[in-house]
Amino acid sequence: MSIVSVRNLRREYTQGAFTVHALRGVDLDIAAGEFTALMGPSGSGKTTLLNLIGGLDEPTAGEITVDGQDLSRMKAGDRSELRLRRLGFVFQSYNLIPVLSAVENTEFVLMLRGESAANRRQRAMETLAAVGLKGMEHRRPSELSGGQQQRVAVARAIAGEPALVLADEPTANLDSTTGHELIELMQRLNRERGLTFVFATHDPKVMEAARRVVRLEDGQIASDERKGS
Amino acid sequence: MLIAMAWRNLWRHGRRTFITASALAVSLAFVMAMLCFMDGMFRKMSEIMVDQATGHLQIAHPNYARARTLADTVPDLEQRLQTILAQPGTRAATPRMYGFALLGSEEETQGVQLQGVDPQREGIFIPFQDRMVEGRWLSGQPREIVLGEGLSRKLRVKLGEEVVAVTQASDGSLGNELYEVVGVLSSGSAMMDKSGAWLALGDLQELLVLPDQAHELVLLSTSLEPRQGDPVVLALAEASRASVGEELAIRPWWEVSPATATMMGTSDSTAWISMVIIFAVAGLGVLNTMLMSVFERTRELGVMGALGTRPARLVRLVLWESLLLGLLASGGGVVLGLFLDWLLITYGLNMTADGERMSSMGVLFDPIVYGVVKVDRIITSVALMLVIAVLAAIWPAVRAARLRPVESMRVDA
Ligand SMILES: Nc1ncnc2c1ncn2[C@@H]1O[C@H](COP(=O)(O)OP(=O)(O)O)[C@@H](O)[C@H]1O
Ligand SMILES: [Mg+2]
Repeated sequence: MSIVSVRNLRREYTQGAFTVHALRGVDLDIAAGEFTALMGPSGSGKTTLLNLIGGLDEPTAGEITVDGQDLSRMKAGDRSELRLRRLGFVFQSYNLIPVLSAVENTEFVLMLRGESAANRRQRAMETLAAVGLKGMEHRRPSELSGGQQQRVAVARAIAGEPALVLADEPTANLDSTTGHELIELMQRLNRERGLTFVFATHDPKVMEAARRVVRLEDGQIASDERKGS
Repeated sequence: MLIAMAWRNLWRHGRRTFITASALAVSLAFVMAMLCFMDGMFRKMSEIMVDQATGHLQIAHPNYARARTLADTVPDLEQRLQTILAQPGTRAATPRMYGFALLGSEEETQGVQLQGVDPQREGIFIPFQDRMVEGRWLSGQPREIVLGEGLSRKLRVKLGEEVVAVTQASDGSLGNELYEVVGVLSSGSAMMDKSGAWLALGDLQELLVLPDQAHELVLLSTSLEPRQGDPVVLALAEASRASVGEELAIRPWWEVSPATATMMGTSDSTAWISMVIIFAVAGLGVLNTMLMSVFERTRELGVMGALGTRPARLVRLVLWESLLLGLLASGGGVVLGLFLDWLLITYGLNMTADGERMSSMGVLFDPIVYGVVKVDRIITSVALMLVIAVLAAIWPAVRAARLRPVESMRVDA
């Protein structure tokens, strides 16, 4: 069953007199449990596509269905609710709340969902341990390295057991070793927990880890490859 | 967690928060001092214009206030006075009688307003003993008279000399009597100083042939600063109605002198207006700080929105920050304000350069005004400051909530 279904998706940005065609008719299905890399050079439309799937943006034309819900028919408030209940996000960098500790950042989404303090704290602690941050739960983002911060971001994204995790260039601000470790972490979570990941990257090394690679070029899908195994 | 976040956000720019909170605190302290001083003024005005002038309640013949006819009196005075004094809620009561007469010295004659008073009881209302320019206040002995300062000058009489009063008594007969000048006073009212003379009630009753009568019974309630419609005064009016019966008029001070009531009422709105203006200025500081703070956190607020934080919660976060800022400020502000209040209560504020009594609308005031602290005033000013702090944050809060995550996150941190 596909978690994401995108049909003939277009997104145009109008800037004064001329129009940027960020996406020019994209069709894409992503099945539950997949680990998909969205590749392509800078400006090819990766962020635009992820934002549309994540309900953060509205398409110019086309349909997006996420977790069985038609995003184009949803109001902003309902899309926000969908993000809160069903989606996890990891952004490029600097995306933790600086005044909250690692464990507080991780339980933030659970707090928004209205879970009890004891419950969410326990879940957050477990999740941080799963991403390899045991012992650092009470550090603020400023007291963590870039790689550790992104691990907290991953923990926050998965603590609520989302149907889909969207990650936009999560390794872009990390050195290659740390970046690789983060990808391995996401791969492991995908394997062990069956979590569905879609992540954008233009790092060719990261591509090797993905089981499915979708290439975007100039707002269109240039290729879609699945690797065996 | 929201409140904890708000609190921590305040300290991301500790110095800015401290400065903004200080500005709020200083404005609160200033407002508290201003109210303390104004309340001191009100208390003084209330003493002079209500307690000492009209009293809280006046009991009189129903026609007396309108026609001022000599014969429209309160009869059976002694017995009524005793009942009134015995009823609960009466702090003080005194009878007054008024009459016009020609007062003659050896050299001059003047038309005067005679006031027949109970020397002891009247002293509770107006501290005449302290207002003597020469000689002494009435002792209660018969045939003594005290003159206003201006009048004594016009009559050119000295202490110990006699003056003769000539008047038409209530029965139509010609009354005349000799009195010894025992004192000269400065009453606080320019008009009374020019044409007023005080004598024992018994003497005036005799002169006007109105035995056991008076024109007014003046009462004080236990209220320290009776406002218009004061329930304590109204309760006393009710009790007095039971004591004196239906045939006499009982009027609270605000009916006796509506002009005074209006003046006391406007004083209160002046306080409110000044308070709002001072806090509004401080509120602009809060507005600026909160706008900056929201602007700096554009990306972070965008991330929160992307994760599914509802706009209402972002609004609450920013409002909480401002409220906490206000609470912080009110702590410091109240401490500083109480200190200023203490100074005002202990040392007062000299309103004139030379320490002379000052005159306003024909009424003399003491030059030093002492502050009066009222807990409800402090509570009101703190509450008003908090309300303004929160109001000032509404716009920044709405801006935070309106941020579109996609655009906010494009902003580099
Ligand atoms: N808000 C915007 N306004 C105008 N043009 C935009 C906006 N966002 C993206 N674009 C343009 O859309 C194209 C795709 O951008 P993006 O999705 O960010 O690509 P990628 O993430 O692959 O680098 C680019 O040409 C970019 O300049
Ligand atoms: Mg991008």
